[in-house]
Amino acid sequence: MSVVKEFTKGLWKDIPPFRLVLGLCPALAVTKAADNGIGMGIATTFVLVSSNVLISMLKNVIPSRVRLACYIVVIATFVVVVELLAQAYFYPLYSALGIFVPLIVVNCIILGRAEAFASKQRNSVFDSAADGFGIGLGFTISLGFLGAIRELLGNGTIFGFHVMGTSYEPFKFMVEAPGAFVCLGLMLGIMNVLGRGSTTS
Amino acid sequence: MEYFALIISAIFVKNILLAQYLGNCPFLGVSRKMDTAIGMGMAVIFVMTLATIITWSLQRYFLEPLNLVYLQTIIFILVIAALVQFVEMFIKKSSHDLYQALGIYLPLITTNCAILGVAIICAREGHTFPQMLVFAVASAVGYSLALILFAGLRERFEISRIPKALSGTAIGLVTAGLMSLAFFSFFGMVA
Amino acid sequence: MKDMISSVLVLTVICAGSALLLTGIRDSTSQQRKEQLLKYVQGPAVKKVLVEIVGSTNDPISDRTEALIDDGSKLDLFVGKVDGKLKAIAFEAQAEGFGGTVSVMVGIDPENETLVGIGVSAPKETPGVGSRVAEEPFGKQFPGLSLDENIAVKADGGVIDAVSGATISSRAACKAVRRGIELYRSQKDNILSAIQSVQ
Repeated sequence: MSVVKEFTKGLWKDIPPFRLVLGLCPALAVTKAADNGIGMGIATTFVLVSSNVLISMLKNVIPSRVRLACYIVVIATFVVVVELLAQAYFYPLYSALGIFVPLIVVNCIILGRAEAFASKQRNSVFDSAADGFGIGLGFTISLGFLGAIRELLGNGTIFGFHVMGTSYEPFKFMVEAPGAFVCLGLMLGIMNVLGRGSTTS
Repeated sequence: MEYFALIISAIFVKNILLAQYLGNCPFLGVSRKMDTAIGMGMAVIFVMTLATIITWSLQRYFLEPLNLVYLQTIIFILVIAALVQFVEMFIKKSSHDLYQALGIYLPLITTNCAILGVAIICAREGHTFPQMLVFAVASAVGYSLALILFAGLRERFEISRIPKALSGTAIGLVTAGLMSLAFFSFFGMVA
Repeated sequence: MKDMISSVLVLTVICAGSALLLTGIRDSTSQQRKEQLLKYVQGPAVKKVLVEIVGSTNDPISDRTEALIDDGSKLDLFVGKVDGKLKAIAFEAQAEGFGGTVSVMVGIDPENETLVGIGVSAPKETPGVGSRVAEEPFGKQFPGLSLDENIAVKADGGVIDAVSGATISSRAACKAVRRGIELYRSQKDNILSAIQSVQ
């Protein structure tokens, strides 16, 4: 039962970056288009699940003094794996995401989950995997959604398909940096209204 | 002239915070008070300059000759983490005043993606040593400038009426968007 | 003391495991990564120079070869042929631009010693400003120029009109072309013998 609970909390209760206000940099940077957002989300999910599982398996071996150093090495290793695989099989996505692929390593969500969840004695390896997968999926959905909104308003397309008709004048503001901040800010506001009563942040 | 363009570009046009989206977590975290923003800004200038010099040298004299560029991410983050620890230890022993001023911000800096981001940008773009130095310092100054200006705006939030749904991080992001728009108007100054 | 030893031991084992895993993945993906670079980065520039401008009838990407340069490194050469006859070769040359490296695919007609054209591959410069050197009006100035011509912007006494508002990028592109020509001249024998192998 707990596996299901750990999985689903990432999809609404703790959905990043809205409820769990972490990982803002990629959420702003790579959401110019929906497919970039989803690609980033999947890459982050891969690192999150792998590092959560490995850290959970090693939690009894790692001395607490060098805990953070070990976490950083584990996370960075999986980030390099993602970099190499993305270069080999998804080059257009890799070049669109630019330096934000290596920067997954400093995404606070990942180190945060390692420290706050995977390394705790009471959480099993399966719980840690479910937690990582849930949070990662939530992050993917959020980034895809933000990307879709920005792409729709700023470019008149979704996943590259024109949906707004030829008379639509793209609102370029949305795909530039200022639009990213304003859009994410307003989304946070909407999530605050929706979540009012059920949770307090 | 070339360096002038590089400086203006790094501080205003390609401001790492407002145009390149780097280092947003501490940006929103420590900008509630002017004092903390100034402390964080100084710490970023100090660490970013030092970290970029070290990572640039590693890239040029170690990773590239040995064909290990694929390990860039892992080496850079370890170097930055170790450097931050070392700097913290050093200033704790050597200067009490400096430790008071910067100490509490240093642990936050390891996960500040602006530091790693600038290190990677410098390595990827193949800057020469003086270009790298100018770029790192100017980027850090741009970051601190944005942080301090933003803290100034944010102090006003205390006395203004903000819609309840937008309070906290949400209004911070919208304000950052408007600041980003202001910085955006420098675009075209450097061609 | 025991604590210290176990800390160092664990960290060392984790680092070693990481290095092993990464080396394995790097080696097993190296071929694939090279192909992706050819397809998405160098490929479009090669096609522009050798297919669009020269009108080659072969596939220059698959008809590529490597020339051994005097300093021991290898140069990727792309060969353009019309009806089986060698028309032009292309290879990449680089120069520092404004905050980044500009890579230019330089196309040369070895028979007439002229440039057949250039293709800027993936400039990382300021979007919208510097990347204009990758567009038509700038690139159109190169085809037909003799290799002896002074390839530089007019402000520097050359024959090329800089893209207005992107002088540094224009200079960098010209510099890359000059470097390419120098390389071709100094390594002509190596390059021509490498081409023989694909003919």
